[in-house]
Amino acid sequence: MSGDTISKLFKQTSEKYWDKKIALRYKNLGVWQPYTWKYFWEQSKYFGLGLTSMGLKAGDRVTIVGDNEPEWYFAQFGVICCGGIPTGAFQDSGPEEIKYVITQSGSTFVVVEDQEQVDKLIFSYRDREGKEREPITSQVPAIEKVIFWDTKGLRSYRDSKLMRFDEVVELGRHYEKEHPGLLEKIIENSDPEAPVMLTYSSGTTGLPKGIVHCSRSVLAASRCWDSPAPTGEKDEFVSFFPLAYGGEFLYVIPAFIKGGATVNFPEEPETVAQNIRELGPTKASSAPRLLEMEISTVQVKMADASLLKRLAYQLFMPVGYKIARMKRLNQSINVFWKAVYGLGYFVVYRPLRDWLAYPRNRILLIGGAALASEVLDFYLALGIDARMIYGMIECTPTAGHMKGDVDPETTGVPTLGSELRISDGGEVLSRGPQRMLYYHQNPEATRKLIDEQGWVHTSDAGFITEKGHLVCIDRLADLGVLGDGTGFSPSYIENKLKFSPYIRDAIITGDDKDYVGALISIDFPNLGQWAEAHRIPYTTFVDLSQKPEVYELVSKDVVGINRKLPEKHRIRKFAILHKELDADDAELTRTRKLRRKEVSARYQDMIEALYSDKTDYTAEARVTYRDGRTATITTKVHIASVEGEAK
Amino acid sequence: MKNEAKLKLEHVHLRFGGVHALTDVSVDVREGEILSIIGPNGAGKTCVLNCINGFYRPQTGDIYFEGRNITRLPSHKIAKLGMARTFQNIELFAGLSVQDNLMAGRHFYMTGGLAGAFLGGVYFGKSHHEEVDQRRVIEEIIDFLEIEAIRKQVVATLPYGLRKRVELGRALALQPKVLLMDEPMAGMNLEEKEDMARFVLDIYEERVKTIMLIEHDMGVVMDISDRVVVLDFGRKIAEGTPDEIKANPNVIKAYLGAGKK
Repeated sequence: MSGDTISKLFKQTSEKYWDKKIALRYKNLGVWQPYTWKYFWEQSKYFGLGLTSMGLKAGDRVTIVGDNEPEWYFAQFGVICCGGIPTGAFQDSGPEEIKYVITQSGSTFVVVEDQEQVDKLIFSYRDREGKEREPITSQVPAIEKVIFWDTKGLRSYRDSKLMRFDEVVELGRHYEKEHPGLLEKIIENSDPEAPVMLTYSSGTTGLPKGIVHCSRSVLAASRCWDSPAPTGEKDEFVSFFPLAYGGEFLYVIPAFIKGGATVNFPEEPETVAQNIRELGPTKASSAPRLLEMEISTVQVKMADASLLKRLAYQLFMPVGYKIARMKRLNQSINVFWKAVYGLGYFVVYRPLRDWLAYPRNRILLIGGAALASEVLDFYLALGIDARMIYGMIECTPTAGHMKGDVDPETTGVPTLGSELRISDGGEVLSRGPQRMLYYHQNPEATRKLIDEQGWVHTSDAGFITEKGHLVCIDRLADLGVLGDGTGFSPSYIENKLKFSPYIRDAIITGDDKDYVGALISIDFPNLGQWAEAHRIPYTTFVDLSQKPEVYELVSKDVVGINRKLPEKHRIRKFAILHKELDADDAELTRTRKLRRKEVSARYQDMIEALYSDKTDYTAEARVTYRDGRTATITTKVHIASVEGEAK
Repeated sequence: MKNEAKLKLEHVHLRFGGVHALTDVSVDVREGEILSIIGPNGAGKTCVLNCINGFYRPQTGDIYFEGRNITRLPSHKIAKLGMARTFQNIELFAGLSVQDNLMAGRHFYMTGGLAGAFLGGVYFGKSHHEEVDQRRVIEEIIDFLEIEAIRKQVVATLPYGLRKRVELGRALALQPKVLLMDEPMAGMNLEEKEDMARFVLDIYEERVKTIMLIEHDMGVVMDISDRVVVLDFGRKIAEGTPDEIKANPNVIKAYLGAGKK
């Protein structure tokens, strides 16, 4: 025993709880189906042994593609227990993106969910240029087997590389009989420094890079985020972030296997919200984007609610904000306000928490992107222990809010054992035990990220406040400078815009220009509801986005935000995009982060139009469908000026 | 057994007063095939389905299902033999939830009877088990058609494409031997059509081995059918594999009109 490893912890916990406690729960056929630790352990073990019998060796990579389902975990833990390295590709990726992950990681086995994914691998497809390409399995002969767990529609497939998940488990059972104790021995000898996780960066800039973590760094990361509210047997997690995004492996998994908690898998991606409400998880982590959407929904639903409910909401929400602020500043709260808050708890906060699936919530961690302070304030007002954490998957979390020290304008102080520093160029540098090992087969990028003293160069611009809190402004490369030399942060303004229930995405422009402009993408469901309520007929997204009434509405929100911004940073002109930003068009990453470079290039002409005298612009957009086909849409997009000068 | 006719129409004539809806139509639907019926508007496609499942009585001619003459049987008895269908204009219980609509498709399998129904109301023994068993079947169909997110929603609130899927689910709930589908893709956009075509193929593979389909979308028909039958003014003018049909001059004439040489 030279230190804990993921596989050792997994074995210990499984043996401790065996068939007495539920490890995983998966909603299937309308019922939450429990899986005990024994079952979890056996499925993982035999799956791993099955792969071993087919030639998987220590250090070999396995790509997993699929929705969050127990089999993802079985495959992942099976591979880790055998000394292999699991990696994931996003389930909605096209064939080219999946191929990239398989070839970059050098995977020999691919484990997929269903027919949809199998088809991407074993059939020919069209690439982005519309060229016919050979099936991935023939392009990449290194792939030994494609293993699937959902058999629907696959019965008649006859491909020598295809194999069912349960066949592999069965192979493993036989292999165990011939080699008793083999897996246990591998686990006993597992090294805390050996890689256990390979995950791909979201690729906001350029091709995704493979981030490699070992047991030690993963456990260190988990210790950092778990320390505010240590995970125990009674804790319930919900697994719904795409597993290919490494966050869950760093945050949830080590705490889950150490504490013996329960992880729940929603029925389908479409039922996530419904399923989370049924469960009311005790510990949650979320992304700013999801919280923004949650708040938008609350705002829209509140506007539709009965008069009494609206009054209660308007009366008690400001109280919630006020109390949250007082608590934050450690001011004493007098009896009167305590009583009002108590009343508000029963009338507004508790029902709202219940509705938003936080009735049993102990802690809500928010990370992944910058967050408008309004969003955090909202959750604090409801009495939820919401905190920001900061860090990139390469080294996370490096900063976070500590109890009683939550400041919505910052991302908190350095976490357990980590250090933070601002370089001379204004870049945030971080260092700590949770740092990754290296980028997979990319020593150059690794050297660029980690310097000789071990500092991770995050590429984020930021500063540290007097209280030692880190404030992250934006990506260094994204910081803009207006023609007259005034610096501004696009994502800061974008996040303010996104707080509006009617704005889903925004792109702020103005680098080297005279003023700040914005391209805005509307929130179709919310705005659609608004249009219906106001009897504004519309047909499609394009039609609705260009309605004068919609421009008027969005314009009001823009004016409101302008008031909160310094004179020079105010948005002077904006246009509403005629289409939603989409990861399939490479405008967003699969985790829904803006790919600024791609988007700016794509809408360059429209951006130029923001800085001309034109009042409209004819846009031609090429859309790429999932199956690789493309189509062109032509639309006239209006350009609106904002009369925000009046005070 | 493979090539034996599962469902057989022999010289079927159907008249409404002086209108000859079907004239001497003979079709064999073989076990294990997807057979499509195509034809211009008013060609009598839906009439064929209506004759098969007993909505209409042909004046002459016979219809056999697994060798048994079903021409004069009432609809519910034909359904019980193992034949389910979907409708062109969606015939669901709009006020019921998706779940309950599918449950309605299981009523042949409920044996509780009147006493059972009363006791079932308070959940005793047999009725209780029966309810659980039926729910399982329904849930498997919900899973199959990927409609988990809407299982508790009232049908009237659903968009058209989903309603079509629910109706298909109800037909499947019958666990039929033959599935008749009347324009499953009508009024759908490209993406919905692709989804539906995928479901038809999945059903064929996993659940029902014999499918009869009426469809207007030629692309879909030619892609997924084993054989195609073409009707025009109530007569069968062609029958064969999709490739044969595409090359058949009668079909081209019926669809495009006769060109001048």
